[in-house]
Amino acid sequence: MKRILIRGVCAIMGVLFGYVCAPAVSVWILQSSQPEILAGSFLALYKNTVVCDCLNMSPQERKEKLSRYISALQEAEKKNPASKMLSQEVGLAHVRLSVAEKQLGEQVQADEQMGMAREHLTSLGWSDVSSTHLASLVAQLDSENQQTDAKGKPAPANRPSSIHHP
Amino acid sequence: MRMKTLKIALFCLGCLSVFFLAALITSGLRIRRELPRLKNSSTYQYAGLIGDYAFLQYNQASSEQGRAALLEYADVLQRARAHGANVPGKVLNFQLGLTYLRLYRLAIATHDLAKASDYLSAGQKEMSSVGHKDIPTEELIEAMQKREAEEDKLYKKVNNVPPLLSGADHRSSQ
Repeated sequence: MKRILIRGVCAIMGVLFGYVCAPAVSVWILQSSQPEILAGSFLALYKNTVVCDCLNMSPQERKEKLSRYISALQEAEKKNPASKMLSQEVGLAHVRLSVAEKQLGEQVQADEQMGMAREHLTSLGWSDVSSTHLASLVAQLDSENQQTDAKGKPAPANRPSSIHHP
Repeated sequence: MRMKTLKIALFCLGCLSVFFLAALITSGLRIRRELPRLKNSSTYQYAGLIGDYAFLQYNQASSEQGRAALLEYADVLQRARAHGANVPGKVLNFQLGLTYLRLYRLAIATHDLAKASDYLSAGQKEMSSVGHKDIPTEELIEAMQKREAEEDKLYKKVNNVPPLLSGADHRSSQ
């Protein structure tokens, strides 16, 4: 009786262990079979947290969060230097950081960030990399992201490139 | 004494086997259910990210850069379709249709008429499956021009946009 009870406990523990481990194993399987898609989806999630959350933060908090985001993007860029998508994302993050620093009155750092943004976006063939245009573009994109966040939808209706239900 | 130790060892081995067997079966069942869901959500998020990138390259960069990004996006969407990702069918068709129509616009701008014709047919085919079956080619092109004028207004802050052309806007189906 005691032995059966012990084996029963082992079975229950095994069930719990298997249940808890399954998501991690699923991620590992996906990482092995489609690493690009998994990394991209993690980046999309991180971007959503940074961009959407940042809009409700003080410029100082936004600056800190964006700096961490840029570091993460740069790490990803080191692993995949040919990715133009990452390069564009780094460029736009520098614009966002520049705007936050400008709001904090840190004009020199803001100009530096805008310079880095220009460097990235020019290398991607962007025609207009003026500070005014980039700041206005990012404001437009962020306002759409905020609408998306509020509605809980994956993409705003007025951003034609994002996937949304027709 | 030796017999007792062997019995205990066998019992522990049995317990471990029960533990791992239960873990294997449970995780197998859960992975079978979770993996397709994870693949779908990852593909959906990844496609969204690439879609944003492709659109900005198309809207802000040179036509060569725009074309490369749009082709990359079309490839991601085609792969999502091939892998049976659970992106709602209409969304996939609409985004592919829009991407091909943008590629058509770029091909027209560079006078690559053969490719333009291919992209237009591909775009029309995708759009026809989202309720734009009977739209004449000219109207689809006009709708695309109208959409691009609106996009320029939003993302390039172009104030001197040419008057909007009439015609069915394919966004009306959204």
